[in-house]
Amino acid sequence: MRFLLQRPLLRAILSPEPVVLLVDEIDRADAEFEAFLLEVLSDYQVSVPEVGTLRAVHVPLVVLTSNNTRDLSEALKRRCLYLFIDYPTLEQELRVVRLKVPGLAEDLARQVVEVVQRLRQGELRKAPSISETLDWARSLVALNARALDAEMLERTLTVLLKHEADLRRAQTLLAMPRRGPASGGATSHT
Amino acid sequence: MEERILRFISALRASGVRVSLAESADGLRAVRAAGVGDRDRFRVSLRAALIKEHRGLAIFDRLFPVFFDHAAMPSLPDLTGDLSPQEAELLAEALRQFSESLRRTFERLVRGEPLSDEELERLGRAVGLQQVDNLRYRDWMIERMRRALRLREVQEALAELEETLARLGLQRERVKQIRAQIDVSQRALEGQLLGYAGQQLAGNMAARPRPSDWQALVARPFDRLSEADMERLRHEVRRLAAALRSTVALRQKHARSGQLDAKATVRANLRYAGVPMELRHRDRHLKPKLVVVCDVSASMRYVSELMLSLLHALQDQVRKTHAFAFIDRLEYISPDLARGEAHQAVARVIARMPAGYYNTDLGSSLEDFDRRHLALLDTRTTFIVVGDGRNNFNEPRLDLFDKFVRRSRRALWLTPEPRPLWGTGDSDMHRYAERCGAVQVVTNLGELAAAVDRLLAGG
Repeated sequence: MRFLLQRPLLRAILSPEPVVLLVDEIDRADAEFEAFLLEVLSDYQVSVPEVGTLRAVHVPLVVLTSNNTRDLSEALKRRCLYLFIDYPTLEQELRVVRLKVPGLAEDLARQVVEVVQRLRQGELRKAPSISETLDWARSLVALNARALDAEMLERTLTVLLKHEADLRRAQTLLAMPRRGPASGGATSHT
Repeated sequence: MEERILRFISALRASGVRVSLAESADGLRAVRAAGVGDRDRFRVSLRAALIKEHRGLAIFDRLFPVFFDHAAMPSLPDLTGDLSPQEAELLAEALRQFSESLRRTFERLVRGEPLSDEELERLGRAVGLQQVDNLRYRDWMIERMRRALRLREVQEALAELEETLARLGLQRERVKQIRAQIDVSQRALEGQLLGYAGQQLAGNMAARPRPSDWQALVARPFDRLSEADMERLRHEVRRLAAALRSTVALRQKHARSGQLDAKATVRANLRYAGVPMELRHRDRHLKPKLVVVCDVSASMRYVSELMLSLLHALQDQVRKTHAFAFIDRLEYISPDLARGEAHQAVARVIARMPAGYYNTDLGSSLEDFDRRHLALLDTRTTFIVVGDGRNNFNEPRLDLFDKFVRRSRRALWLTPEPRPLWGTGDSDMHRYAERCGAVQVVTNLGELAAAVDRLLAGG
C-alpha cells in the first residue's frame, strides 16, 4: 500500500469522509477505462492483484458526464441513472447570463439571449452553447456595447459561431428588423 | 402499482427501448425511495432509472400518461345522498321515461358508480379491444366504448331530463346542480375508459410476438433489402459494431504478443553478433489507418452506407479513417460522417454532386484521388474499395489502381457480386481483382461484418 500512488479514483474509494467523484467526459476515455470503471461503480471497490480488494468506506456519489461523441457501453449505462441536459429556455438562459455577467445591461442581456435562442432554431452546424452565450455577453461588456445593432452584431458574432457556413446562415437568420435602440431597421449583409 | 410499473416497462420494451432486468429493478427501487405522492418526482425518478439514451426519452414521454395519468379510481360524486326523498322520487320518475339502457347509464352517473373491472373487460371485448395492438387506435376505441355505453345519447338526453324534472316540479336551481354533477360523473367515467383503453392497447402491444428476426435480416442479401429493413439495420448496426469492437479488443488482449519487432530484436541480439537467438515482439498491437473509397450509386448505396456506419462506429479501433464516396467523381465524406449518421452523410454528398444522370466511373474517381489525395496512402495505410467494379465501359485506369495498391500496406476490395458475374457486361471486376491483394464477396450484412472483423484482425 505504501507504493500505491493514489489517484482520484482510489482516493475517492478510500476517503474516510463521504465524497463526490466527478468523472468528466467519459466518452473521451477508451473502452478499457470504461471496463475498469464497472467494478468501481457496481461494488465501489478496486481490485489490485498484488494488494487485494480495496473497498470503499463511504459510498461516493459518482457523477459522470458525456458529450455523446460516442456511445457508452450498455454495462456502464446500466449502472447509472441518466439525466439529459437540453438547451435552456429563454428565461433560464437569461438568469444564467444575469448571474454570470452582471455587468451587462438588462435589456441588452435579453436581446443577447433572444438572438441566441433564435440561432438555435436555425439549422446550424454547431448550435451555440451556453458558455458561448456567456463569452459573447462578456465580449459585449468588454467592448462597452450600448446596443445590439447591426455593426456590433457583425463584429462579435464570431464569438458565438465557429464555422464559416454558420456565420453566413446566421446573417440570413438575423436579417430581420431588430427591436433595439440606435441603428434600428434591417440591414442586409451580402 | 408495482404491477402497473411492470406493464409500463414491457410497453417500453415493445416500443423499442431496451430496459434490462437490472434497470427495471432499479426503477422499482427508485420509486420506492422517491414515493408516489408527487407525480412529477415519480415520473422523473422512473425516467432516470429506466431510460439510458436520448432516443428513449420521447417514447417514455409518450407512454407515461397512458399508464399513470389516473392514479386512483376517479371519484364520482354520489347524488342520491344529496337529494331529498321527494326529489329522489321525481328523478326516478323522470328517468323512467327513458329507454332501459339509457336509464342504466343515467343511474350509474347519478349514483356515482364507476365501471367495475368486469364491466370494463366486457366493454373492451364488445368493441374488439383485444385485437388491436397499436396506440394510434386508442381514440377510436374509446369512441366505440362511449357509443356502447350510450354516452352520446346521455348528453342529448340531459336537456330532456332537465325539462322533465322542471315539469315534475323540481326547482330550477336544483336541476342545474344535478345537471352539473352528472357532467362531472360523465367526465370521470370517460377518464376511466381512457385509462383502461390505453393500458389494454399497450399490453396488447407488449404481448405481440417480437418482430423476427435480426438473424434473418443480417443474412438477407443487400439487393433484397427494403427501405424499412434498411431503417432497422441502421439502428442495429451500432450494436453490431460494439460487438465487433469487443471481439477485436479481446483478441488483441489475449494474443500472446503483437507482431515481431525487428528493431528491438536486432538490438537485443547484438551480443550474439546479430544472430536472432531471442525474439522481441511489439507489446501493443498497432492500429491500422484506413482509406475507404465507396461507390454510392443506386445499386451500391446500401452496402456503402452500412460499411461507412460500421467503420465510423469502430473508429476507436482504427488509427485514422479517410472516407470517400464516388459515382463518377470522388467526394470526401469524412467530415459529413463526423457530423451525423451515415445515410444522412451519403444523402448530403449526393445532394452536393451536380444534378443529372450519371454512370459509375471508377477510373475518373481514381484520377481525382491521384490528383488530390495521393499523400494519404503510405506504408501504414490499408486501401479499401467498396464497389461492384462496373464501370459502364469507361476507362478503368488500372495503372492508377496498381499504383495505389503498391503504395499502401494492404489493399482490400469488397464487392457484392459473386465471382461468376465478374467480367460480365460492363464489369471490370476481374481485372481489378488480379491486381488487388484481397477481394471479398459480401452479399449481406453478416458477411460485411465478418470482412471488417478480418480487416481489423490482420496487420
